[in-house]
Amino acid sequence: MNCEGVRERLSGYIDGELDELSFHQVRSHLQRCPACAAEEAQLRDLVALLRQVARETEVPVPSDFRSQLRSRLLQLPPPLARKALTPVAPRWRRWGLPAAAAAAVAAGFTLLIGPGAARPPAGDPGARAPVATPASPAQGPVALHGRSSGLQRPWQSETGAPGGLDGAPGGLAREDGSAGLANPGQGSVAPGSGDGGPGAATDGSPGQKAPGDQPGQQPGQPNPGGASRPAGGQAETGSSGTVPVGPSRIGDGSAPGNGSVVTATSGEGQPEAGQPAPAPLEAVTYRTRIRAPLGPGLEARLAQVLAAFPEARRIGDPAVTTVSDRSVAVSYTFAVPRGQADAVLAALETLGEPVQRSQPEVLSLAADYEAKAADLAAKRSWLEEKERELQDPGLSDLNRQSLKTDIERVRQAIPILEQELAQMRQRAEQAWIVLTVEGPRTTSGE
Amino acid sequence: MSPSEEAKLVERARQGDVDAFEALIVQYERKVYNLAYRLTGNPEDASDLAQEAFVRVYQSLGDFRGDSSFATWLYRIVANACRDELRRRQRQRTVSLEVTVENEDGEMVRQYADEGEGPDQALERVELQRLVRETLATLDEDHRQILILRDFQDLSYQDIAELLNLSLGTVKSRINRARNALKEKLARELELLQSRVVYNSRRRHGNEL
Repeated sequence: MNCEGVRERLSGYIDGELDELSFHQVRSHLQRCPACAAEEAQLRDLVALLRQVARETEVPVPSDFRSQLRSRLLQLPPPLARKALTPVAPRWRRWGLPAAAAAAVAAGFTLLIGPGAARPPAGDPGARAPVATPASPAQGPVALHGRSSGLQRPWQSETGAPGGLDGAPGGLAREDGSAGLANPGQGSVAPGSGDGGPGAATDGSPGQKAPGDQPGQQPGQPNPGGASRPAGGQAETGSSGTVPVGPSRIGDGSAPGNGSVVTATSGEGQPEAGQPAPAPLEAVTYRTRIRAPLGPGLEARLAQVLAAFPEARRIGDPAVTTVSDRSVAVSYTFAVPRGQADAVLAALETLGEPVQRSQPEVLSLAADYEAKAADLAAKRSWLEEKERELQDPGLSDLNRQSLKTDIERVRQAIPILEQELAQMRQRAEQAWIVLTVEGPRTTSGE
Repeated sequence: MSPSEEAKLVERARQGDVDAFEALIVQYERKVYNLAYRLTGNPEDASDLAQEAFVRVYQSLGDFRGDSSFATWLYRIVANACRDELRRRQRQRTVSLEVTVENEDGEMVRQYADEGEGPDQALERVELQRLVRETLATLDEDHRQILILRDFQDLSYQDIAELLNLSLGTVKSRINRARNALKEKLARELELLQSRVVYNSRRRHGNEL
C-alpha cells in the first residue's frame, strides 16, 4: 500500500474500523514510513483532543428528566401488551395500543416544533394540552368542515375504489360528533400507528384508546383536515376482511396488499425483495444445546463448521449465561437461508455432545407485515393527496403551516415503515439458529 | 450489571414495571441525553428527543430477544429516533450540531475547572475548548456532523452509517476527510491561540505584580 492509500485509511486504523488485511497493510507501512507515522500521531492527538473537549463539554441530564420520562411511561401499556405477533388478539386491539402510543410521540414532536411550545417535554397530556390549545379550538372545526369536503373528492376520483372510500366519510361523520375521537386518526401520522384511530372508531370502543394520549394530542393537531385522510386509510386497514378494499387502494400506493402480501413484496422494488421465490412470512427459530469445552478452541471450530455455509452469518454477540458455579453456557445466534437450516443445525451439533434440540419456533409475521404495508400505502396516498392540497391558493397561512407539519411527520414515518417491512422480509427468508454451548467454567480461558 | 440481572430487569420491564426499566437505562441516560443535546443544540429539545428515544426503547421491549446485547439494541433504537429527528431538521434546514455548552454567564468555566488547576491552566483549557468548537463550526456541515457523532459521541462506524443512512465506506472516508480538514484548520488556529494565551497570562501576571 502506498502513502496515499495509507493516509486514506488512517482514521479507520486509529478507530479500529479496518478489516484485518488493511489493518496489517497500514501497520506495516507505518513501521517503515516516518512521514505517514507522523501523520498518524497528529491524527491521534486530534482525536484525543476532541474526546477531551467532548468530556469537558458533556452536559448533565436535567434533574427532572427521569420523573418526566416516568410519567410518560406510566401512561403506556406494558411493552408485552403491544407485541404484535400474538395471533389471537383482534387486530385493532393489537394495533390500537401502539398507535395511541405513537400518537403521543407525534404530539411530542408537535410540541418540539410548535410555537413557544418548547417547554416541558410533556409526557403528561394534561401538561401538553394547554400549550397547544390556543391555536386549535377556533380553527379546528372550521377547517374541519371546509377542508374535509374538499378532501374527499380528489381522493375518490383518484382511487377509483369506492370500497376504500367508505371508511373516509365514516371517519369524517364521526369527526363532527367527536373530534376527540376522530383526531386520534392522526395517530396514523406517527410511525407505525396506522390503525389506531379507526380501530377505536370502528369497534365503537373509544375507551380502548390509551386515554391519556388523545386529549393531549387533539389540541396539538390544529389541522383536522389531516385527520380525514388517515382516518379513511385506517378504517380500511382495520377492516382488512373486505379484501377488495385493501389491495385496490394499496395497489396505487405501490405497496404490498393484504391478500397477497408476499407476491406484492417482490413487486415493491425494494432491493431486499429481489428473491424470486418468497418464503412464507414467518420468523423461524431453531434452538439446540450441546456440551463442549468453551473458549478460543470453540470459536475456531465454529468458524470451521460455518465455512461450509458461506451464507450463514452471526447475529449479535454471543450471550453468556451461568448455568451453575461449575458451568457456563454461551449462546450464538446465526442467520441462515431457510433451506439450509437443517444442514447447519446438524453441522453445529457435531461440535459437541448434543444435549437437546427444541422444536423450531414459528411466528407468523404476516399480520404484522400486512398491517404495516397497509399503513405505508395509506400514508403514501395521504401524502400525495396533501401535497396537492398544499397547492390550493385558497389555503390560509395557518392551515398551510399545520398541513406542512403533518406532511412532514407522515413523510418521516415512511422510510421507517419501509425499513421495517424490508427487515421482516429478510427475516422471513432466513432461519435463525440459536446454538447454546454448555461447558465447564474453568476452560473458558484456555 | 450481569447479563442475568439484565435479563431479569428486561423481563420485568416488559410486564410494565417502570422501576425495572429505569434501572435498565440509568447507565445510558447521560450518553443518550448528550447525543440529543448535541443534535438539537438546546436543553428543551434535547429532553424531548431523549425521552422520545427512551419511550421507543420501552415500547420495543417486547421485540428484544437477547440476540444482541441490550446496550447495542438500545443504542440502535435511540439512533433511529435521533435519525428521524435529524432528517426532520435537515429538511427544515435548521440543523444545529454545534456544541454550545456554556451558559450566558460562563458557568461552564466554574463547572469544569479542576480543583488542582490554576487559573491559567483553566483559562487555557477553556480557550482550547472554545477554539475546537469554533473551528468545528467552520467545517462543512457533513464533516462537522460526522465528527460530532464519532469523536464526541463515540459512535461506531456502523452506528453512524445507520444514523446518517450512509454506506460504511462513505462513513470511513468522510471521517478521515473531516478529521484532516479539522486538523489543518486547527493547526493554524492553535498557533494564534498559543500567542494569545501567552499574552493573556503575561498580562495577568503583570497585573498581580
